[in-house]
Parts: sequence; C-alpha cells; structure tokens
Amino acid sequence: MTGSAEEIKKQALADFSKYVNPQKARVLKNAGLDIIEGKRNGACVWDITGKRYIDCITSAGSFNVGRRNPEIVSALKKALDEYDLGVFLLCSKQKADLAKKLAGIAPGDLQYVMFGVGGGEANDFAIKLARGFMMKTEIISTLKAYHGHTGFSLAAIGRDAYKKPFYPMVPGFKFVPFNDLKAAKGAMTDDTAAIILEPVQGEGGIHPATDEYLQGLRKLCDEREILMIFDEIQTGFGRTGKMFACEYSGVVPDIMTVAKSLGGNLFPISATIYREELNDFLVTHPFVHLSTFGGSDLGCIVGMAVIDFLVNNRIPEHAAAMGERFQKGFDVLLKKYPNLLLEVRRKGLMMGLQYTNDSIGPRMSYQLAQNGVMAIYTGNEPSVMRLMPVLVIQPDEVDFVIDALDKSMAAIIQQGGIEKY
Amino acid sequence: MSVIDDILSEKDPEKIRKETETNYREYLNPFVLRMFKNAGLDIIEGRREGASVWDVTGDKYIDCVTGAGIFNVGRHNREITDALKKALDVYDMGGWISIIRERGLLAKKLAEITPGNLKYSLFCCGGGEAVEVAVKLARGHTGKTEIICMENGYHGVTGFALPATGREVYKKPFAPLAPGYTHVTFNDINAVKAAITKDTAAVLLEPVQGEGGIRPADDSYLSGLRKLCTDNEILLIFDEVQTGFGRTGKMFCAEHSGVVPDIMVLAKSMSGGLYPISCAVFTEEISDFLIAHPFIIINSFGGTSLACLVALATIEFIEKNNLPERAAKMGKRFMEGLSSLKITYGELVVDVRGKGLMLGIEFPEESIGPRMASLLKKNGVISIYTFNNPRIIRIMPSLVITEEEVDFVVEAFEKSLKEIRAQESERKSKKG
Ligand SMILES: Cc1ncc(COP(=O)(O)O)c(C=O)c1O
Ligand SMILES: Cc1ncc(COP(=O)(O)O)c(C=O)c1O
Repeated sequence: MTGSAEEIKKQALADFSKYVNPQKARVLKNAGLDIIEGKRNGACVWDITGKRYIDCITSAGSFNVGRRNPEIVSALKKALDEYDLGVFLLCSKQKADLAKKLAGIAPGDLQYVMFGVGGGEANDFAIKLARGFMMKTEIISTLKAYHGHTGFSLAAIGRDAYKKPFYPMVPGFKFVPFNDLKAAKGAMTDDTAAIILEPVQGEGGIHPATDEYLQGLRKLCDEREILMIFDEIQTGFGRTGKMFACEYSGVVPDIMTVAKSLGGNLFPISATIYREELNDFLVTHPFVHLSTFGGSDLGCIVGMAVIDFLVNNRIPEHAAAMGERFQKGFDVLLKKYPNLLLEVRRKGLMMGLQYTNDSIGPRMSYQLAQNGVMAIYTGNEPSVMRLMPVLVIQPDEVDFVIDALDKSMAAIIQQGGIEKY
Repeated sequence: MSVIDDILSEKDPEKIRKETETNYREYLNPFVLRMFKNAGLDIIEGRREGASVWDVTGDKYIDCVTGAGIFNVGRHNREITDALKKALDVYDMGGWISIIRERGLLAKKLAEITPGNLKYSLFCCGGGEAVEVAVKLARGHTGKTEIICMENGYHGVTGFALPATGREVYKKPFAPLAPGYTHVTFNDINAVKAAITKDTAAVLLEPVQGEGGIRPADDSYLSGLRKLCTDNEILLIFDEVQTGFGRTGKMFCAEHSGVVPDIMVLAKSMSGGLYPISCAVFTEEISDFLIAHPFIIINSFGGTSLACLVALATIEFIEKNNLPERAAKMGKRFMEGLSSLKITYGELVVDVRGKGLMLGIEFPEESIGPRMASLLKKNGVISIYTFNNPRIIRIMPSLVITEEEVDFVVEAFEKSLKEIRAQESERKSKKG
C-alpha cells in the first residue's frame, strides 16, 4: 500500500470500479465526489491528495458527534483492550447498560430495547413487533418515506424505484401523503397495526412533519388502537436541535427506531425502543428476532460514549444555534438567487435546499466539491440538496459552507442552462 | 470519568451481575434472562482470549458457541484488535456514498479467495441483510421471482431473509411475509427438481445447515444442484455465513464439493469477532444488474472503512495461520473423541456429525440438549443446542483451539453424559 497519494487514488478508483461497482464510481465522479477519504476530523474530511472538504453528507446523519471524535475513539480503543463483539446469545452487561441509557433519554415511557446493526433492521423489527403484538397486519406508511432496504422496511419505502425489480414485496402496506391527517385517517381500518413515519422526512427531501399533524396522528392512533412508530434514524441524537425530533411536538410514539449516529461514526449499531406493554409479545416469543452483530459489546460501549458526549456537551442546543446561523446565510441566498433556490426547509441542522429544478442538484454537488464542501441531493428527490454537517460544526465552518454555496450558485448562474427545465 | 472508565473500573462481579440482571429485566427482556438462568447459561462475559472466555466472576470456559461461528480467529484476537486500534488512529466509518479505498481492497481480496468466478462484492452489516441482497440480485438479474429454499434452513429474520428461514415459529406472528419462497427437503435433489417452475429465480441453501442441526449437504447433491440450476437458468446461492472462513476445514465450504455458486453470502467470522460486516459476492454477469441500478441497494453501515480493514486483517490472519487446515485437523480429533463417546453412551448419543470444526451431537430427545448445555457449563464448556432443533448440541469453537483444549471439551462431554446417564437411571428406578 505504498506510492504517492495520486497513485493510491488511481488504484483505489480502479479497484472500486473493478470489484465494487464501476457505475457508482462514474456517478460519483460526475458529481465531483470521487473523493478518497484520508484524514477526518470534526466537521472535515481530507481527500488523500490533501484537499479539505466540510462534510455535509455525513452518511445522512451518521456522524453527529463529528468525524473521528477523540472521546469516542478513545472509548472504543479502551474497550478493545478488554472486549470483542461478545456472543449475542448470552447476557451482556454492555447491552444492559446501553438499554438503560437509551430508556433514560428516550421520550416518555419508551423503555424496552431490541438491538440491531443497521437502521433498516431496526425498522424491520419495529414492524414485526407491531404485527406480532397487535395481531393485525396493515402498516400505513407515507409517500416519499425512506426506512431502509431490508424487506419490511423496503415495503414501507414510499418510492417504487427501490422496490420494483424485487417484487413481490411484503404485503399489507398502504401509503398516504405526508402531513395529511385526513388521508391517514381515511386509510385506517380495523386491521391496521401501525403507522410508521419519519418526524422529518429525510430522503424524501427534508420535509418536517407539523406538530399538529403528529399530535393529530397520536390522537387518532389512540382512538383506533393503532401503534405509532417513529423512525428517528436520521433525526435522532440531536440532529434537529432536540435529542429526538418528536420532542418538538411532545408526541411520544409507541415504538421508536434509532441507528446512524448511535454508532458515533465508528461502529454499527441500531435499536428499536418500545413501550413496556409491547414487551408482552417478546415475553412469549423471546428468541423470535435474532441479530448476530446487533448490540455487540463494543457497539454498546460506543453507543454509551456517544450519548454521554451529546448530553455532557449539550450538543442538541449547539445544533439548534448553528442551524440558526445557517438560516441567516440561507435568507441572503434566497434573495440573491431566486431562479436557483426556491425554498429552504430546516429543523436544527437537518437542512434541505429546494432548487428550482432536478438538474441543479447534481451540478451544485459538483460546484460545492470544487469549493471544499461535500454535499449531495436526497435519494428520493434530486431537486433537493441535503445539508447535514456534523453537529459539532463551528461558526467559522458554517460561514465557510455558506460562502461555498454563494460561490457555487454564482458559478451555475454564470454557466446558465437553468431555464431549459 | 468517562463511561468506558466507569465500566472497566467496576470489578465487583456480584455488583455487575445484579446490575446486569436488573437492566435486562427493566430494559431488555425479562424472559430471556429467565431462560438463560434455567439453561445454566447466565454467563456474563468478562475476559476473552483464544478459545476461552471468562465469566465476570473469573470462571473460565471453552467457548463452543462462538455466536455460531463469529470467532474463527479466536476471541479478542490480539493481532486483529491491534489492527483495528491502528486503523482508529486514522479512520472512522467513512462516508456512506464515498469511494472507500479499503472497500475496493477488500472486494479484490474476496474475489481472490472465493471460489471460481465470484468477483463483485456488495457489503452490508449483518448476515440476514446480505442474504436479502442475494435474493434481490437473483430477482433483479433473472427477472423471475421464486426462491427455492430448504426446510430447517436459517437465513436471518429481516423481511426478505425471514421467508427463506425454514421454521414456522420465526415467521407466523409476522405474516403475511414476502411471497415467492418455496421450501423443499434438504439434500434431496428430486425435491428441488419438482419445485422448479418457469418463474424460479434461485435456489438458496447453506452447504452445512447450521441452526437446522449441523447437517452437511452431500457433494453429489451440490453438484447435482449446480447442473440443475445451470440447465434451467436458475441462480445458485450459498449462504456461507456460518461455514465460511475456514470453519469446515476449507476457506469456504463450497470447496469440498468443488461447486461454485453464482452468489455467496458471507458474514459472522468476516468480522474477526470485532466489527460487523457482511457481504454478497457474485459473478460479473450478475453485477450487470447493479451497474444498471448502482444505488438501488444501499445502507449506512455496510462495509465501512474500519470494517473493511478488520476483515482484511482477519483474512490475513486466517491465511497466515492456515486456519482452514487447522480446523480440519482439530475437527478430526474431535470426531475421534466424540465417536468413541457415541459407542460408550450409545443410548444417549444418536449421531455425531459435521465438517471441520462445525460439529453437532444429536440426542434421542429434546430435553437432553438443554440439560447437556447446563452440565457442560459446570464442566467448563459453553455449548448450546441449535435454534431449529434442540436435540442437537453444536460444537463450534474458535479455529485457534489447541489439542489440549479439544481434549478438555471431549472430556467435559464425557463427564456430562455420565451424569445424564446417572440421572436417567435414577429416574427409571424411581418410576419402577
Ligand atoms: C429515516 C431512515 N430510516 C432508515 C434508514 C436505514 O438505515 P440503514 O441504512 O442503517 O439500514 C435510513 C438510512 O438512510 C434513514 O434515513
Ligand atoms: C446460515 C446463516 N445465515 C444467516 C444468518 C443471519 O445472520 P445475522 O444474524 O448476522 O443477520 C445466520 C445467523 O445465525 C446464519 O447462521
């Protein structure tokens, strides 16, 4: 593994094309994102050739504590002196400790925890739990929702392109427009087990649910005895300016899923947290859901270190403040580039720039990369660029991103070609 | 003090046990805890090393469960731990859509060590997730929907893997599941033949059924399947989640029969026992589907920089130490010991079988599995029955196990069987 950075980069791109996916490599190159990550620190990542970028992708909210957060790195290293993954079939102190900690920070009476590895897996279990406990089958999901690629989650995704080649899907899923209470009400039947949604739709284009919508849903669900599942996989752990996004509305779901940032950008771990009552199902079916790597000893220690870091440093508050600072910059850009930038939707540091058309997303990615910012459009909505920097981002870094946006938009205006859409 | 210092500084085993039990009851699953206790398996792992694990109280056990094959390289392997620590000085997970150099390197290595023309990799975190990828690739590539899988197979519990798992208890409460899966008898080529339709996309199986009770597929069955699949333009998928990385005495179990599948699923020991990673490895032809749809299967944690480095270090360790060969040798030693127990305790041991260090002992009735597990623990061995079949106790130690340790385990089995024999004769005399 020797050679100049340029040579290593060339070889890495070649290997990636040859053994992983050539088309992926091509798409990333066109978006100016054929970056091979070298050094990582805080809000930044360096290409191995030395160029610095502010990371506004962060695997869609997986790096809330910052890239290579020294406290979490050191916790994991210390843990490595003693532990390995552990055996998922046995009792684990680390698992028990993290479960308690999650119950402590989760809203309301969410108390019991089932661990997984990825976010999709956590949603799969949430849906299974809802069906198993309610003994009903229908799941209501929302259009443009994103919940992951494992089977039950995939069935709940509100975008056909991810699903079609893999039909038939798990049956029993219905879709309603997001933020539309009447539609949700209309879809509920006596066989409805649960409604699943993101408090802020991420891949769908950064659409926050209104408080009234969530409160209305809670009331409907209580009346009709339907479970409410919040997927806080992108929104959780301080991203929106609160520890969990549902705190804005005060609505407590029956089941909440978390993943991404729980792993501190170091170690895969996810969790499904649910109300005590639902545990009745697992008491009669204790080994019905198994995950070899889920809630591993090392993963749980990382999860605990992440929560301590977020709580001790009041990171959700910091995220709220940095979000405000971003907003000031966006307000200026909105006035300056009305042909390009239609709207900004934001909750804390979960930010979406709505461009005037689909083609601008990829072009802006390219320009921003030239100006030292990594950013990409959302999976289900290419006219929306997501900005989700680490939550430990500093004021001067916020200003740097705003400045890069300004320069990139200016460049695109100069290039022209916006009108043709 | 940081959380890790808190955790590591607590040395009082009683306190640790009480606290853990309370937390399980309050925050995880009270019933799981009770079951562990009843089975005598309420071990809380402290130190881990090589083939052994120590309860927080300091009692030492040979780990013959290893999470059903996570720890081929040994518990808390020093070299791989050091590799991960070094990696942590530079890396984190890496960006989700970035081009990750380590991922390319690992994919290249996998192409090299997996059989035949398996070449491209798609990485995930868990085994079930990788099985899902295999099923999706089969459907996407062939444009057909049906998956033929095996009774008593185990492939995980997420949405597209669960229907392939061949046991109703895992599935019933969550119905309706994804349709399109047919189950046939394992090791029966005619059953597969009969199940094939115009809409069959793939046949999915474990070359040695793990949870189904350690049942190796016959070589002739696998080569028959290969031919049948090729003739009917059906993909052959091997789930080598348990059997991979040296477990059966070859790097991959497929090598015993020489049959090359179109897609191979790997997980468990690829992690080095330290860091979650799994993957589906497939042929160039199948990769065409993903070239047309490069972002159709994505995940946040699959094949992170750290994971890929750990997997590379793991493969290096396995190769350098000839672990497949070692597994074959130690497996033979086990077989000799266990076979002689089968002769001595003929009324209690119905069968001893397996491949390499993937071994199973079958008892005549279901109650004996759990009782044996409990006695084995008393005798210093952790071993449990398979999920789909409690009459079978599994022996899947680390591949770094030494000859003395093998003998220790066989002796523990002998002691435990002796006690069961005594219990049985006492029961009979009471009845009589
Ligand atoms: C809201 C939401 N749910 C679920 C997932 C799936 O998580 P994972 O990629 O870890 O399976 C994601 C990932 O982007 C997500 O954004
Ligand atoms: C053969 C086989 N396939 C798939 C799986 C599922 O793997 P995971 O638990 O990592 O999802 C297992 C787990 O035991 C397995 O033994």
